[in-house]
Amino acid sequence: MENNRKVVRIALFVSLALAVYLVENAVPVPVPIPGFKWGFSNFVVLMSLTMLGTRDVLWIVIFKVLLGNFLSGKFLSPVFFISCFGNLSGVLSMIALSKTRCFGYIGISVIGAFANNLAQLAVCGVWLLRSVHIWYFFPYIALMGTVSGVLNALMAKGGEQWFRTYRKN
Amino acid sequence: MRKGDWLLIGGVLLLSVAFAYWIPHRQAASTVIVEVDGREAYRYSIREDGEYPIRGYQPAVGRSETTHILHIRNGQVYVEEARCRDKICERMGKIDNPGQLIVCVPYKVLIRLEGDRVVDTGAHPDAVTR
Repeated sequence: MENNRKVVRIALFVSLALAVYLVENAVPVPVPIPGFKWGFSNFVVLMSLTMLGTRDVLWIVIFKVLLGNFLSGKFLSPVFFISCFGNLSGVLSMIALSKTRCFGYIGISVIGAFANNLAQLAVCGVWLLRSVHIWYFFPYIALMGTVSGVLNALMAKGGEQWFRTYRKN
Repeated sequence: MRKGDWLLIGGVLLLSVAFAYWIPHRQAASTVIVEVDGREAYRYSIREDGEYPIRGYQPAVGRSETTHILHIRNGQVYVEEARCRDKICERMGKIDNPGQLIVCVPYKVLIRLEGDRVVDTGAHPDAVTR
């Protein structure tokens, strides 16, 4: 019974993350960076970090990246690899930081966004474009990552509260 | 919000400010450099208007086909007629300052501007460093 509940939760979180992943492209981006995304779907990952176990969080991220890229037709394209490495380092850093118990939602979220962006730039600079000049984008994405990280933290907090009241009813 | 959160945000902001100093600033663009797969492939003066075909990285066809048209006009640089699907490089618009980039990931093309930094000593207004 407990296992069923877990599976349902993972499925729910994956579909929520996917919906956000696909819809967030409609939100305009204020920086001149190609392929920049807000990364709002990470608020679901953040939320699952406190509501589910570490292994479940990793599954959610893997499903989010695979299905998200399937649905947007980017599977195995350069964007897919950028997204893979970004999400992986983002979630690993968030898990590590949440284990220390020194940081709240905002710190964990900001570092997740930062690690995500850093890994994406690294994949572009070292592997895809092989140019050091791609790091010109770093200040922009560090700032935007902080903004989206804070927004994600607020959304995760709201989402968690909603889930708690929902369970009572 | 905990103390650690503030420290983290401060650290990230500090790092981005430090990085911003590394990026060329306060320069006038003089040269357009096109890198393909990490190597400098083309170099043009920004003062000469023109339209130049760019051959991006295409291992399948051995780099023989034009993948983008680079436009230089009135000191501004932009890309048109990109052959890829997403056209992100076209949507990046016009760049005119060193530190700005146009990037095409599918064809491994990176377009940047180089400038001459005028050293502001006052004594030698024409002194130029690279």
